[in-house]
Amino acid sequence: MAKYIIKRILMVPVLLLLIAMFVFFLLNLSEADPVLMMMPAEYSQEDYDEMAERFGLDKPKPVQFVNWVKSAVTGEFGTSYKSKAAVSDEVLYRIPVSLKLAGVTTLLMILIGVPMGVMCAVKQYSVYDNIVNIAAKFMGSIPGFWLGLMLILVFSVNLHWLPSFGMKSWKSWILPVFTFLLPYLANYLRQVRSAMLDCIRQDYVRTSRSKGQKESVVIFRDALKNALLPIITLTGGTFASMIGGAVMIEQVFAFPGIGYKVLEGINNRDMPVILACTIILALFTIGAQLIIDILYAVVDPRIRSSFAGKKKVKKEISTAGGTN
Amino acid sequence: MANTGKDGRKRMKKRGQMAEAWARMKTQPIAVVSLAVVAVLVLVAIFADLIVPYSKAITQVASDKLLPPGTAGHILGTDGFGRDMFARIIHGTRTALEIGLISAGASIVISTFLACLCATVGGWVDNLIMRFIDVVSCIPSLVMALAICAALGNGIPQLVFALFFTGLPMHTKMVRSVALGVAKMEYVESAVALGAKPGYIMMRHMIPNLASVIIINGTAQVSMNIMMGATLGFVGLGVKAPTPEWGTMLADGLSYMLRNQYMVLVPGLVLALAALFINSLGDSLRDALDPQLKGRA
Amino acid sequence: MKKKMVKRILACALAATMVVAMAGCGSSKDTKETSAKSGEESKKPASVSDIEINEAGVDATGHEGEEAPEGVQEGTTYNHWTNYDIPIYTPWMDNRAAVLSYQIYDNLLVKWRGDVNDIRCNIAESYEVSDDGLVWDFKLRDDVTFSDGSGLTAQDFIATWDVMETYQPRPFASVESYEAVSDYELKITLSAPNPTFIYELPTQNIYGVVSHKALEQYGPEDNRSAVGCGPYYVESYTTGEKFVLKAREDYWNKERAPHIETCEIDIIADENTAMMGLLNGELDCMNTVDIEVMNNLLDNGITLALIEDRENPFWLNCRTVDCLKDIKVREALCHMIDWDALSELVYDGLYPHPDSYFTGDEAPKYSEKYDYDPELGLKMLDEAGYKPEDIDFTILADPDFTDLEVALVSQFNEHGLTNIDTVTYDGATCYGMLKSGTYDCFPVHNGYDPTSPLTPFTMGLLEGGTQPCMFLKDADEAAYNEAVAIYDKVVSSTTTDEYFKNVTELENLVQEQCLALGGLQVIRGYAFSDKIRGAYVSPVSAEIQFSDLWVAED
Repeated sequence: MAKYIIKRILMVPVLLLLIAMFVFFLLNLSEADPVLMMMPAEYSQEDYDEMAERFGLDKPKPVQFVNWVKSAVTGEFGTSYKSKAAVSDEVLYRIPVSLKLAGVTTLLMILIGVPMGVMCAVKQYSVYDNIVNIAAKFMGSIPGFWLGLMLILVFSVNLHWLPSFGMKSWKSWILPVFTFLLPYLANYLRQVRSAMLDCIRQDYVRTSRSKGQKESVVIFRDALKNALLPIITLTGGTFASMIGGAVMIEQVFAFPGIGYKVLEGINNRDMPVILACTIILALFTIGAQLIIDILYAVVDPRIRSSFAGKKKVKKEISTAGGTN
Repeated sequence: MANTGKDGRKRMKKRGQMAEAWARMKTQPIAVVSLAVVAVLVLVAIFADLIVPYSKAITQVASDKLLPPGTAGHILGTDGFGRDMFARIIHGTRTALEIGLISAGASIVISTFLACLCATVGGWVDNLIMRFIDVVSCIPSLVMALAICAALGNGIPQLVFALFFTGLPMHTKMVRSVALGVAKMEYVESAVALGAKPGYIMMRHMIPNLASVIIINGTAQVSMNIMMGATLGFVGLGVKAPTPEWGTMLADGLSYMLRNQYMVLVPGLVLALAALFINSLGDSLRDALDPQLKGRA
Repeated sequence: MKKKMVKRILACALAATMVVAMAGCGSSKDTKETSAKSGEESKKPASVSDIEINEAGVDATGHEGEEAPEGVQEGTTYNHWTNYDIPIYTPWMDNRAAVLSYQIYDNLLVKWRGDVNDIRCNIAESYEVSDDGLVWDFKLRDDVTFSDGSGLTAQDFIATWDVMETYQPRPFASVESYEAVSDYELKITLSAPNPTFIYELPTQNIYGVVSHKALEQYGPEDNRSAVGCGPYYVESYTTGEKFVLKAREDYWNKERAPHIETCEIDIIADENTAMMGLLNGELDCMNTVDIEVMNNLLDNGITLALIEDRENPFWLNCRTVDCLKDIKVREALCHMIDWDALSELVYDGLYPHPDSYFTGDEAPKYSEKYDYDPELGLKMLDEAGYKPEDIDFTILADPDFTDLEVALVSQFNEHGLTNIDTVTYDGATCYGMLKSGTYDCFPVHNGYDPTSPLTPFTMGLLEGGTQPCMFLKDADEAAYNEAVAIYDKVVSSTTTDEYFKNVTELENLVQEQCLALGGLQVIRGYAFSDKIRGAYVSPVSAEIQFSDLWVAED
C-alpha cells in the first residue's frame, strides 16, 4: 500500500516534466517570433540580439527548455514576454481565486447533485426522473459564455440585483458560480443517478429489501453507502476538471483566476505565461487524481486486498480510476 | 461510466447485435425523435446547397441589415452584415457537423486503434501509449484546444485537429479498459494461443465487441466538439470569417443581445438543441446497445 | 400503458421547457423596449450618427461650462474600464499603459485638458528656446513633490530619461544631450531643429518623471520604482482585477488638483461585460469602436461622445505576396472596394471614408486610382495577366476591427477574388507580425505619432522599421529611394512651413506609389455615467486626465 502511494507520488514530477515538454513543443509550432513582439517600433539588430539574449531566446530550443525547467524547479516560471513581469507573481496570486471558485461550485454541486441524483435513481422512470433527466441534458447543452452574459443581462442590467463583474463582495460570486455550476451539475447528477442505480440493482440491496427493511433504510444504509465510493471518485474528478474548466466563466465575469490568465497568455502568445499556467493546472489535476486514487485504494476493501496480489492488477485499477 | 459489461458479454454477430439494438430503439419515442432530428441535421448538412445557395450566407447587403425574423425573404432575419440568418444557420450546420463529426471520428478511430494495440500487444507498447495519454490527459481539454489553435492558427483543419487531439486521451482510456476485458475472454485467448496475429484479433474480435462503446462515446464526443468549437469561436480562435458557423454566429451576436435578441437566440437555440438531440441519441444508443445498463432493474 | 403516459408527459415537459425558454427571452425583450422608450423621452439623439464629433478641450460628458468644485470631494469614486492588465507600470514599460501613466506621472509641460494646441507649463515654471531651435532651457518649480513626499529636482529627470532612452529610443532620436544645470534648471540640446519636439514633451509615458531615489533602489522593472509626482498615486494593485488610485491632498499644481478621491481602474477583458457593467452603474466610463455597443448605450439613455481616432489604410505587403508587386494589381484592388458601402454596412455610416491616407489640411487628396469601379478593376487584373482567383492573400485582423475585415473580404469574394481571406490575432501578435513582416495585408495608421501632430511616418521608411512603406522597396526600388530622400528633407526641416511642404510631397509620393487599400476614419465612442463631469478626452491618443474629473452634486 505504502509502496503504491510512494510510487504514485514519485511519478508526479516525471509527469509534470513530460507535460511541460509537450506544451513547450506545442507552443513552438507557432511561427510568430517572440523576440520581435517584444521589440519597440524601431530597433537595430543589436537591440534584437540583446533582447533575445535577455530572455534566453538566442539559445537552441532544447537548451531553452532545460533552462526553463531549472528555474521552474526553484519556483520561478520565467518572465512574461508581454509585461516583462515575473510570471510566478502574476500566476500564483490567481491560484486561490480559481480554487475557491472550483471549491464553492463543487460544494454546491454535491449539495444539489447528490440528493437529486439519488432521488432520480430511487424513482427511476418516474415523471420526476424524466424531467430532471431532460433538464440536465438541456442544461449541459448551453454554452457557458452565452449563459453568463444572459444572466448578467437579466440580473445586473435589468434587475440590478447582482454585480456584473469582478470580485467585490459575496454577491459577485453568485452569477459566476451558478453559470459554472450548471453544466457540471447536469453531468454530475446523471452520473450519481447511474452510480446509485448500479448499487440498487446489487444483490445485497435485494436481500435487504426481501428481509422487510424499511425502504428509506434500504436506500440510505445499503445502497447510498455503497454508491459513495464511485460518487467520491466522480466528485474528485469533476473538481479537478473544474480548475481548468473555468476559462470562459472567468473571462466573461472578469474573474482574476488562472483560466483568465491562460486565455490572456494565449491571446498574447506569451509562452512563459501559458507554460506556467498549464503546469499549475496539470499539477492540480494530477493532485486531485492522486488523492482520489489513494482514497479509493484505502477505502475499498476489494481493492485494498488486491494490492497483496500481482502487480498487473494494480495498474488496471489506477487507470480505471482515471477513466471517470 | 460505460466500461461496464466487460464481464461476460456474449459474443454476437455484428449484424445481429445492431438489429437487436435497433429493435429496442424503435420502441423509445425519445430515441426515435433524436434519431430523426440528427438525421435531418445530417441531411441539411449534405444538401445545404440545394436548400439555399451558399452565396446567400455570405452576401452582405447594407440596406438589409438587422431585419427581424419573419421578414419576407428572410425567415430568420438578417445579421449585422445583412446576411440571411437562415442561410447561415443551414450552412453553419454543415460547418458544425463537419467539425464535430470529423474530429470525433478521428479521435475514435485513432483511439480505438491505440487501445486495441494496448490490449493485444501489451507490454512496453501499452506502457508507452498509456504514459503519453496520461501526460496529455493532465492538461485541461479547453486549455489544450486553445493552445493548439493559438499555435496553429485559425481555420477548420486546425480546429478539427485541436478537437481531435483533446478527445483522444479520454477515448483511449475508455476503449482500452473495455478492450482489456475482451482480450481476456477465452475465445480471444485461445485465438492467441493458436497463433493469430494481433491485426487479425483486432479486426475479428476486438472491433465487433467494442462497437457499442465506440458508438456511444463517439456520439457524445460529436456534441462536445461542436460545443467546444463554438467556445473557441467566441474567443476568436477557430473558423475563419466569413464562413458560417453556429459558435461564431453566436459570439458575433452577443453585442446585439440588447437590441436584436434573435441574433443570439437563433444560433444559441440551434446550437443547444443540436447538442441536446445528439446527446439524447447517444444515451438512447447506450440504452439500446447495452441493455444490461438499463434493463436490469 | 403506464410507460406511454410517461412518454407523453415527457414530450409535454420538453415542449414546456422550450416555451419557457422562448417566453423568458421574449419578456426580457419587452423590458428592453420600454427602457429604450424612456431614454427617448429625455431628448437624446436618436442614432449615433446624429452626434457631433467631440472637440478637444470640450467636456465629453456633455456638461461643458459647469464649474468644478474646489479641492478633493470626499468619499467620491470613479470606476474606469481597461481591457488589459498592466503588471509593471513604470512609465517606460508598456506603451498601452497611458490610462494609468497620465494619472500618476507628471511632466515638464502638459496638454491642457488633452488639447495638443494648448500646451502649458507644468513642472517647468518657464522655458526658453534658442533662436536656432536647438537648445531648450527649462526652469523648474521648486515646490514639486513626489507621492512619497520627497521633492523633485532636475536630477530626477536625468535619472528617468537615462532609463527611458534605453527602453524607448525613438523619441530621443533627435535629442543630442540633456543636463541638469542646477537643481531647478534643465537643458536639452537637440541634434537638429525638431518642430515636433514640443508635442512630444507633454507625453507622460515618454518624458514623465519618477523619483530617482526609488529608481536607483529598485531598478526600472519594479513597481516600487513607479513613484511619480502626478495628482494620483497607486494605493493598491491586484493583478488581473483592478488598480486603486488615491488623490493626493498635497498635490502641488493647484490648477490641476484632483477632485475625485478614489479612482478605480477595473480590468475586464470582455467588452460586453464592460458595457453591462456601465449599464448597471458599476463602471463610470467605457469606450468602444463597436457601433452596436454605442447603439446599446444610446438606447439606454447614456450620453455618448465621439472622438476621432486614427485612419488605418490597409497596406499591401509585396514581400510576402508576389502578385502584389505589380502596381496594376494594387490599383485594381483599390478599384474594387466600395468604402462608403462598407462604412454603411459595418458602422451605420458613422465612420467617414476620408479622401487621403493622411490627416491635416495639407494632406494630398486621392487620385482617380482610388475610385470605386469594380469593372475597371477586373479589367486591369486581366490586363496584368491575372485571373481573379490568382489574387491570393490573407488580411490580418485586429480583434477591435474584425467586422470591417470580414466585410471587406466578402466584398472581394463577391467580385470573384475568392482567395482573399482574413485571420484574426490578438493585438500583440499583430504587432509582432507587423514587425516581422510576416503578414500580407494589415490596416495600420500611417505612422504618425498620435501624441504629436507633426511627426512624419518615420517608421515606414527606415531600415529595421516595421511599417508598411517598406514594401515600396520590394515593389519599386526607385520610388522607395525617392521617398527616403524626401523623408531626409522632412526631418531636417528648420521651419514649420518647410516641414509641411516636404511632408506633403512625401505623402503624395507614398499615396500614389504604395497604393494601399485606403481605409476608414475610426470614430471612438466614449460613454460616462450621469454623475461624472469634466472628462476631457484628447483626440486620437484618447487619454483622460482623472484630475479633471469631478462628481456632480445633486
